[in-house]
Amino acid sequence: MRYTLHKHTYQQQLSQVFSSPQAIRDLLKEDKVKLPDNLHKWLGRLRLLYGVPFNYLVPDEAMLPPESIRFFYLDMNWIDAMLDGAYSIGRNLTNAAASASANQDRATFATVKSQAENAAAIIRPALLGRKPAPVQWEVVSGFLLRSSLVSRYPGLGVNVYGAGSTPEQPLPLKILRFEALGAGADTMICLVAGDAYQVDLHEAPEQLHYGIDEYTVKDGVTAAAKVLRKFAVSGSEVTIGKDPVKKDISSCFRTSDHRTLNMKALADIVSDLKNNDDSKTPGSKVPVNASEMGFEMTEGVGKVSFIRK
Amino acid sequence: MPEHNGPDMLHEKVTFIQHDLPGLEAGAYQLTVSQHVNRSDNTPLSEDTLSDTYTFAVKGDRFSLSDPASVIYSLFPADNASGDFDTVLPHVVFRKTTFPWSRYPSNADPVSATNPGVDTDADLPTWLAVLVLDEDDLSLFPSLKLEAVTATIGDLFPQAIVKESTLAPGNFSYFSKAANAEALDPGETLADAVRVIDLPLPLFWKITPSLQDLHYTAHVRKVSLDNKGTIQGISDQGESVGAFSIVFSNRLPQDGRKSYTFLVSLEGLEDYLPADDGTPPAGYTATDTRCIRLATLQSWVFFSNGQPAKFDDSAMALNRSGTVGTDLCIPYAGSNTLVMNALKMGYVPLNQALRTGEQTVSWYRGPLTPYLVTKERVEVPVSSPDKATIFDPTTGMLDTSYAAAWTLGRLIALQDAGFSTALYNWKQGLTQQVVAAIEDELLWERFNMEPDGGGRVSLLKEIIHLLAQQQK
Repeated sequence: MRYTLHKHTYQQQLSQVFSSPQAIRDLLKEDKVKLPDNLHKWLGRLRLLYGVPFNYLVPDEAMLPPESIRFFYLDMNWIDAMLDGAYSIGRNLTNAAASASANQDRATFATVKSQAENAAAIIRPALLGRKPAPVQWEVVSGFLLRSSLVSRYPGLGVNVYGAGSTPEQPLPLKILRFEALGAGADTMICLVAGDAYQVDLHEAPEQLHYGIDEYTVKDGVTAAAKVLRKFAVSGSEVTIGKDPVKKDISSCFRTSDHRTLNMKALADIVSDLKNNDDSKTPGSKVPVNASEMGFEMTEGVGKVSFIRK
Repeated sequence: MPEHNGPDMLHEKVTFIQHDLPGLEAGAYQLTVSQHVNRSDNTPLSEDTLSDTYTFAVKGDRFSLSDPASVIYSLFPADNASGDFDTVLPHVVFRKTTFPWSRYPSNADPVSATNPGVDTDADLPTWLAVLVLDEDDLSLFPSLKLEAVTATIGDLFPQAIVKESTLAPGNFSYFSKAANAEALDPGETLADAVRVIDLPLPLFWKITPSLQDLHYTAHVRKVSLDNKGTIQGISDQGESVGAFSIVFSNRLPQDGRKSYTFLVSLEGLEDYLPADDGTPPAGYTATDTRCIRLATLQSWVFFSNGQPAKFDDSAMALNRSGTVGTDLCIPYAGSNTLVMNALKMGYVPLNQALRTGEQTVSWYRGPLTPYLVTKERVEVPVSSPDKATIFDPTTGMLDTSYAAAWTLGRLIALQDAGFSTALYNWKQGLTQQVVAAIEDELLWERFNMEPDGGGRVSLLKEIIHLLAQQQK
């Protein structure tokens, strides 16, 4: 028996396959188009606009004036174009759109993009040690915040809700990326999966300050008050009473300086409220420690909501 | 140590912890290892023991911060801030939870030194204090300077020990009771730069926390990081809970004054600290004219002017500057509807230098659009930026957005040689897989050979390759 294979046949077969993305796809099974780890991670970061210069995001300052918050959607065309630009390395850039390398890219881009998206979906969960959950990429939106808040409150928190969200039935959206654009920057970007409608900014609990509620000095006499709450400690859990108690803390200031607190004396007043007991006889104080002082003296958290309009 | 899960703030749990002791305090350590070898009947193999001694040091910031950004998380009120601060206590938040207890203000270590790393429930004083001064203090103490000045560690010693010290005779500092200049930590030298402030003793007593107070002016907070931005070293560690320590001042800022705030070390200054009521310690009187020199780890100023400046005040002030909308686009007040529509859609007119050398104005829009773009407008793969440039017939201008996006993606990829090389190689590998698959098919068709037909097949493939190359 005699078999023949002409060079010509071989080359024809090659060019036939490489002129058709479908033919390439038929030969390259899906599981073979698997980017190595470092490549899909790289593209995943690009998918979330890591490394994109700020002036490409906000080409004109008037779009995002100082002290403003602005909502946006991610334009999928733009993302596709950028990902394809990155993926075009090694592509034969001719005006004949159907070069072999272009056809191979056409045959594989969808798979590559979905791998980039899978990588993008786990970026933030990995940073926080959270289990990643699937992300719907059809609608990605978010906001830019330009404010002195960004540098003053590095730990400011955010909750983003979708349209139709109510306090009773909140529809929180998953944060894909949230960070200041550069160290010491005054601008933050937040990308969420879904259609952002409401953004709640809140003060970081780790930055909450100690404060008192009333303070006046008249004729050298200090009058000061602090609203405190009764509390009970059981193991490591603290239950805070609902009704605030306004305590006169005028005596907790030093006589030598009207503005300097005698923390020890203040701790004694706080100890009055421990164990939900406001009626201890003087001298039968329960000692309090720095952590108990901490939650009694801390002023509440500020939260402000913004609605897209 | 007791942990207290505080009030339900923001529906998230905040844990207050009274302190966090470092495993080993800063200082020099000696580690001795010795080994005796016994026979199986427990009699020593030899009289000699093998032993070796190692010395090591735990370094920790002492009189200055070697890298403030890695230690300090935030200041309150912020540097140069102005607002209603006369009923709040200024504070410093630290990234490290152990920092406020890495040293101690008392003469003796409050934790048993024999068991380093052992936890204690006892309240412990912090060695750090936030001192708030203003011009009124200046009028009472004209010699006071409201700024930290540059000095050296040698200047913290009395002149009896370090001759060049600028510490005036009679004045006090950390090493006033030292017998010699050897009280330094490993790695420290007398010439190391520090910043110091000289406080008249009566002022120091008025405003400095007592040793008791120092038990209450610091604590640790553990908070959830789930809603926070990504902060290097904090919310990128694979942990969803972050821990911070915080040190408070004990003095309210003065309304209508500029406050000069200093984070100072009170390490080992127990004997000079005032009583709880601010009276001088035993052996001193309130009319003392001497000074105490404190090392300043951080200093900043703010202004208390009665204007609301809390977090929510600043947040409420967002979006106040004229415009109504909250969409990311340029506001337009003109009457040209074409321009208005384009701007509303997020476009920006930008100068463009054409390939042909001409200058023109084209539209550009970034990836962030004020409305949801649902129409597919880019066909990938893009063979050249020109292919992704769209002509806008309504304005007669070019839309370069996607061309710019494509070019940017390509540039970012090219900039990262690691990525572009790896991608190129991977794509070459794909091409080879396609070629191999074609060859397998041909071999099967023409020669009835299985793709995994062993040596004969690979030999044939080699031949095919050679022939194909010859053709070229």
